[in-house]
Amino acid sequence: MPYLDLRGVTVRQDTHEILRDVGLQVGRGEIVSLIGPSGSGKSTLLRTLIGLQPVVSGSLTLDGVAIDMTAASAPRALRARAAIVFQQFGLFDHMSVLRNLTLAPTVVAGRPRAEVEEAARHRLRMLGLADKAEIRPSRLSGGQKQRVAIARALMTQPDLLLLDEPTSALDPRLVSEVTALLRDLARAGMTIIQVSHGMESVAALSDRIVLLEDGRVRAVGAGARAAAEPSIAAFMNAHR
Amino acid sequence: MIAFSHYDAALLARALWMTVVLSVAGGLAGLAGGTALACLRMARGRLFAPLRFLAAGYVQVVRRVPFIVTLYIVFFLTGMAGLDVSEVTVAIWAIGLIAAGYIAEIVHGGLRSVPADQIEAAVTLNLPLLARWRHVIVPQALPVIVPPTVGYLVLFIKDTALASQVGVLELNQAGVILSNRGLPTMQVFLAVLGLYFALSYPLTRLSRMLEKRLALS
Amino acid sequence: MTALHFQPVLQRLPFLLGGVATTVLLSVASFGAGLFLAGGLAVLRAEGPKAGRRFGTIYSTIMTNTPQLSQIFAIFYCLPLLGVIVSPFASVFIGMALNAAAYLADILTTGLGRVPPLYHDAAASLGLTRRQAYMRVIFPHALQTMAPALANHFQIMILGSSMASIFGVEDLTGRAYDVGSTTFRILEVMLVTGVLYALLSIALTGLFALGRRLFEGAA
Repeated sequence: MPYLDLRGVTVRQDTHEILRDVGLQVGRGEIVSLIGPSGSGKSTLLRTLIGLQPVVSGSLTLDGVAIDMTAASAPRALRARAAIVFQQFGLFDHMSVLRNLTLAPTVVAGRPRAEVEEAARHRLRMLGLADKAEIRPSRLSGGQKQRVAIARALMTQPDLLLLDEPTSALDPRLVSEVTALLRDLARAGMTIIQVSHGMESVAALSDRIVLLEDGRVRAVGAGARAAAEPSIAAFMNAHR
Repeated sequence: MIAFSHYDAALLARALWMTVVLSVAGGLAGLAGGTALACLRMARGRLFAPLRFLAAGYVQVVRRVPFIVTLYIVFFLTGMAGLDVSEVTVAIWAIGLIAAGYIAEIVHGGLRSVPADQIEAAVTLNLPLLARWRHVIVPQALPVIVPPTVGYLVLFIKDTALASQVGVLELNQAGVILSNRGLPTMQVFLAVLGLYFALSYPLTRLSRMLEKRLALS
Repeated sequence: MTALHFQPVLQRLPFLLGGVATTVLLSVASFGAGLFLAGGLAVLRAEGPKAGRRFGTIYSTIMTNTPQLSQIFAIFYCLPLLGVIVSPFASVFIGMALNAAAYLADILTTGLGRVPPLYHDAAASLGLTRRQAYMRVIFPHALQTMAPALANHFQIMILGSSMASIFGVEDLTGRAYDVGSTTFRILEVMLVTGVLYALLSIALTGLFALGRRLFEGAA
């Protein structure tokens, strides 16, 4: 049984169907890339997985636990296991970097502040951001913001990490830094689903590539030859 | 429910008229005073330095003193000075003094908002002082000045409610009198608040409309 | 014109300063209560049901277009009719808080509009409930961006609290009147009172600037 088994997700806005009967099967520790033309529903699919997008239908089994995506309790259940890094990061500029990291563990999980701060500082150190703990996120560079956003997501101890365009705001040197980080996380058992436009990193990084088109899954490529699946290869060639 | 008698309605009407008189006269006094103060603050040259300082100081201080205190000061100052002025005049002066402080700040800000290169361009065109003001400075400053000034008139209407403290029979005082006469308090104050609203709300709307329209052009 | 004599007034300066304490207490209390109500009104206006939104806007429109003095009078006269007997201080406090709620709700509504939409999503994705998101993320952000406007309204409330004297509250203006009627130096005492209000206001402006610098320095 796959770690993540998503079936029959349909999202409707007004009369338009943004996602139609979308399914997705992912193994633990896999890195999945969602690709496709703009408006194909990639970001919407990512948002459904963190409970930000109401769905018409859909069910999910996550690590053996069944979640009815249409239920009112779905967002809470999803957010207990998953975390997201937004394209624009969504860091809170009116609080320190450290508080950004400690907010959810203290407020949502109710863990003691001192313990959480210790863990947050440790994580910042690991990402080379030890000296940035007390400043506001707005003073960070794009690459630093990216790492803080990832650190904040990891503070909720997820085992599914979602990333929306993680490399779009970064210069090439930082791209390889982020991909290395993602690879390390996956090796440690983190399942990662990213929406990406950076086709080089998609090809190099992904265990699974999902091509969306017009709200449907057009093709899925898996394993070492994921990028060789014909329609995926065609799309990637056209968007390189 | 006790209906308002003819006398009660007449009292309310007279009080409403007084509120209008106080607002309009006070507002006009403030407009004149405020514009004069703002122009003083814009005056260049060392000769005007003390006046500039006084004008700026006045604007700073008068906006930090409660209206009721200003009202008492004007009331007792005219009394001590032996000036024979009516309570209504005292209230108008007090409103004018406060309004001048607020309006001066707005007008000053509006005049300062005209870019320096505009004024320099006018100077290099050899426009005389008066023409510079009339054709370059004022037309560009007015859109910045007018909407908030209209908005502030609402503030001065609300201040007139305190004129009762020096014995002027205006709308708020009429409410107190009618209520003490035994009329249904709730209705009396609903009527008073409703009349104030009828005076203020059109100005609020006008201010917002001007702001939007002038921002577009 | 008779000469001004400040001596009798200055002798009673400690008494007046006691009035300053009441002025500050009344303003702080009604600002706090007003801000609490304004928070509710602003959320109602931002995402309440249609009727709730309309109520929020109408409330602010009515309260900001009528004099606070008449509002307090209405409360002062009407509360006893409802069987509620409270002190003059409490009447003024209620009136000021309800009035402040309207202005502060306008300010907070602007502030909520300036919170980046992504903050709502980010807070939700971290598992915060709507309530937690508002208390921990959305309101703190709105309060910070609107801090100058809020501080400005607090200054206005300090000045407005002088109306309390009309209802017999011993605030600065109330005590000034007392001193005036015992010393018969009413003009002098009002001039001193005006200076005290101005000093209080300038001190608050300084305090606010200092607080802001410390806050931003720490960040």
